[in-house]
Amino acid sequence: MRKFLLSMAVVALAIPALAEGYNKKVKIGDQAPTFAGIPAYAPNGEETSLTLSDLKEDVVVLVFLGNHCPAVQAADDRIIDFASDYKDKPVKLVAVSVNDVDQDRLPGIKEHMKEKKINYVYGYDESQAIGRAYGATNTPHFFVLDKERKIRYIGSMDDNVMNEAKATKHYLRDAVDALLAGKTPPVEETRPQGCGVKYKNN
Amino acid sequence: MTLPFPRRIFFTSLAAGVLGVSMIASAPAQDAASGGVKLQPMKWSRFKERLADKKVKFTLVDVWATTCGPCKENFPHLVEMHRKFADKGLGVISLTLDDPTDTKAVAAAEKFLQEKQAAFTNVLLDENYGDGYDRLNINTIPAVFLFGPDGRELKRFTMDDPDHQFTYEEVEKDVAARLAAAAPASK
Repeated sequence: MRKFLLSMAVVALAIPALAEGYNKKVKIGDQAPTFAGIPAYAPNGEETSLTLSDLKEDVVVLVFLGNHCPAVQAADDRIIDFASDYKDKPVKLVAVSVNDVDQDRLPGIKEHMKEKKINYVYGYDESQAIGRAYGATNTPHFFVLDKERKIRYIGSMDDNVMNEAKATKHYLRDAVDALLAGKTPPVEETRPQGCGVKYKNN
Repeated sequence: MTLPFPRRIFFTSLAAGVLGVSMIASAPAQDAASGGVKLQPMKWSRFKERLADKKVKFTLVDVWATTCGPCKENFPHLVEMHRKFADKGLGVISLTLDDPTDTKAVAAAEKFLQEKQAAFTNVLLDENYGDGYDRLNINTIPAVFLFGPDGRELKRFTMDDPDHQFTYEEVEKDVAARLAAAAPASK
């Protein structure tokens, strides 16, 4: 009997910890880090700000973007389509950039929003605090929050950021649809794709 | 002294032996093609095998791509580390995650490596574009890995933690310390 128990103990110790997700700062089920007063532009060009507690929709999609990034440029239309497709549902997509890159700051954002007819609020956090809090490592990098503002999906929009035609798995839509139906997203986390985010003063 | 076989055979085989030894002696630990820098496509499994190298104390792998500006900015540090530490037992490999089916990107990668005088092993990961991130378990590049002579990962330097994104200064410090502490490489 003792030998059996000892061998079980060895097996228990040998089982490795559950594999980490792809995010060093937050995990599925965590309360989403709050953010407030991030300067932003509305689709109509008006100045506004991003504050998590101001958002009343059941599902919030926070996406980290950057104008200069080819992956974001490739995903732009898909994100616009998403915002448009879900406009009559209790879902709100908001975007933020934390990139220390000229093109990615507020003036560039305003310009870009006009050019591409962006249909969501898009802000810029100079301090990069929101990026650090969410562990945003790429652009685009998606975080889906439920009604309680718990993080329920993290990662990519689909399985091919550079080429929409080659995307076969639509993680973001599946996650949002599941939450709207009161269910758990079938895939809760994927590796983000796209350009890296550089944080200042590391 | 009588030779055990005819003199011509003796001298021919001696010459062949000397030639063979001198060829082996002149080939460096890394696969630098003489008179040029080259980029070798490699499947992941072959790349993993290549990481094990008993001729060095450690192997440093720099993961980059032509589409990654910060990676290209870092690259001279890799070249510098090769210059400084190759004869102290550091093997150096560059690994590009450029799309192997994109002939323009591959040509650009080769051009870049030649411009930077990357006189060490340069690998193009020959898998589906994007697979490299999952294989290496990284979200983004640049990224640097250190492997032991058995190909086992010893340390990674990544951009994946916003609160601790690596610098090459950190990489060099770590490598220098390890080389100083390590026993001589087995020949």
